[in-house]
Amino acid sequence: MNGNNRTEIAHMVLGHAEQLLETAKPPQIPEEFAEDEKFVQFHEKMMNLREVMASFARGDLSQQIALRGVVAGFCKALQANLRHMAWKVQQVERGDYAQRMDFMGDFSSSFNKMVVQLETTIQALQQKEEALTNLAVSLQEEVKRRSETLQKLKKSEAEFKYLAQHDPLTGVFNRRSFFSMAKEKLENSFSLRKGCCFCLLDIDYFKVFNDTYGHVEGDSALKFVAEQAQLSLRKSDIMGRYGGEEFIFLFCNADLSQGYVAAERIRAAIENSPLKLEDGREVTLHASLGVAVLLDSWADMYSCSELQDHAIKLADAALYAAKAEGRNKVCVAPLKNICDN
Amino acid sequence: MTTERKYTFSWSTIGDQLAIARPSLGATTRVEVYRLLQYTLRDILEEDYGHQKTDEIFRRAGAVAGREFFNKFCTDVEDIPGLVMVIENKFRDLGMGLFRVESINLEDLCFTLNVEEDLDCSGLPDTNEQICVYDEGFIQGILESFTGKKFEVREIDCWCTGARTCRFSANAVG
Repeated sequence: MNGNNRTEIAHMVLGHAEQLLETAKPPQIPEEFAEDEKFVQFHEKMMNLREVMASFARGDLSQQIALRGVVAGFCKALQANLRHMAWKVQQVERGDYAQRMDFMGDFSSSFNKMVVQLETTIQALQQKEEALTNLAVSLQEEVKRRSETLQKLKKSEAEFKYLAQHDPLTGVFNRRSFFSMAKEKLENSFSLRKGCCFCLLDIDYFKVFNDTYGHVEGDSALKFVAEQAQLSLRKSDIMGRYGGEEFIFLFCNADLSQGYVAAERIRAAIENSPLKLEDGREVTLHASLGVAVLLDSWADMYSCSELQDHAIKLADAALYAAKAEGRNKVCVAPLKNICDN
Repeated sequence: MTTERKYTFSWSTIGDQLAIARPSLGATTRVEVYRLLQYTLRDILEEDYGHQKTDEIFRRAGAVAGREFFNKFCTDVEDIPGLVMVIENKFRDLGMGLFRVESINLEDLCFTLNVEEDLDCSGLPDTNEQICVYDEGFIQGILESFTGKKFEVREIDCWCTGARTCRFSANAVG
């Protein structure tokens, strides 16, 4: 082999090595060296190295590196470092912020800063979450407290409303509420072309009862009469305390005979249920009642309050008659138009 | 084989008063001195017992060292990541090497670990021999102490086979 040939062969070998390092498509072994074992081994080593580097570039760190020597050793060290780095990142992902790295140069420094920042951010978020949770708990407590206050207020309002509408002793409507309610009921009955009855009740010999048993028992008697009367009412009827020992009723959708029956039912209930005194004795109470009717046809000519006043006057007269006739009795007022007064 | 013993290993037998004992030189020495001891010892052991038996002795000694290392530094750790962190820090602090994890399969208890700048072999000539049998035993001792299972640890890359790092596979056996 002369000098020119040696140079030519050397250039061919170097050209092939350059292609192995530089070209995207790996070169074929030149025919001239196909049988040369050393050349083929070198070619295969370089191909193996290309594959290793390509797999690293893809992020595949599982490649087995079969080569030996310094370059292969650096590849192995790089592979080991990258795999350790991946493991570190996995630990951080699991919440271990104590992980630090001191290899791979700038990457390590960035990784360490990132982990510190991540931990700081997560701590801040946790503190915020805790603060929000505490705030939510406080808010819930405040809402609960306000809700309880509101409930108490509503209850209190209901109690005031009840006290404003009812007689505190007997629990029936007071006079003002009774007439307010009666007006509505009257209008309703008249619109249905139905008549109504007013009824007045007076407990017989109540002054004597008070003088005999005292005012405390007198109050009990008033409550007792109110209870018995209420038990005898229909759903549509209403009852109020008229004053002293007198009660007033409105029997809705009732003619005079129906009004009489309703009043008689009340009277009988009082008579038939003896009042039990504090000392255990039993006393039978009696009541006198007067009933007056209002015809629906009158509603076209007179106002509700006019009709109401008229009916009460008539009922009062009937009550007077019942007293006059010996008490413990129901008397009905004769049908009498307002214009007949 | 005789069972007559001068001592069994404990940390106290290697001296724990170095600040008093070596006020000028301190607790450290140079790597060459450590290697001088290890490789002259190895030389004589190989001469007397042959290559394979010597490897076995080194591996067993490494396992004792690994167990003692675990008992001294690692008994507080609760999980594998915690263990790795302690080993990593202690290896660095004691100048033993840079211990790193490449992968851990907790189901099968398979580990791929590596030690860079290894105390035993980094910088040694390329002899085509995997030489870190003492380290194999050391890692085995730690893992067995932590898991309570038997482990087989083998070096799969070594500085002396041309790699720049020593890589170990560790698998639970039995």
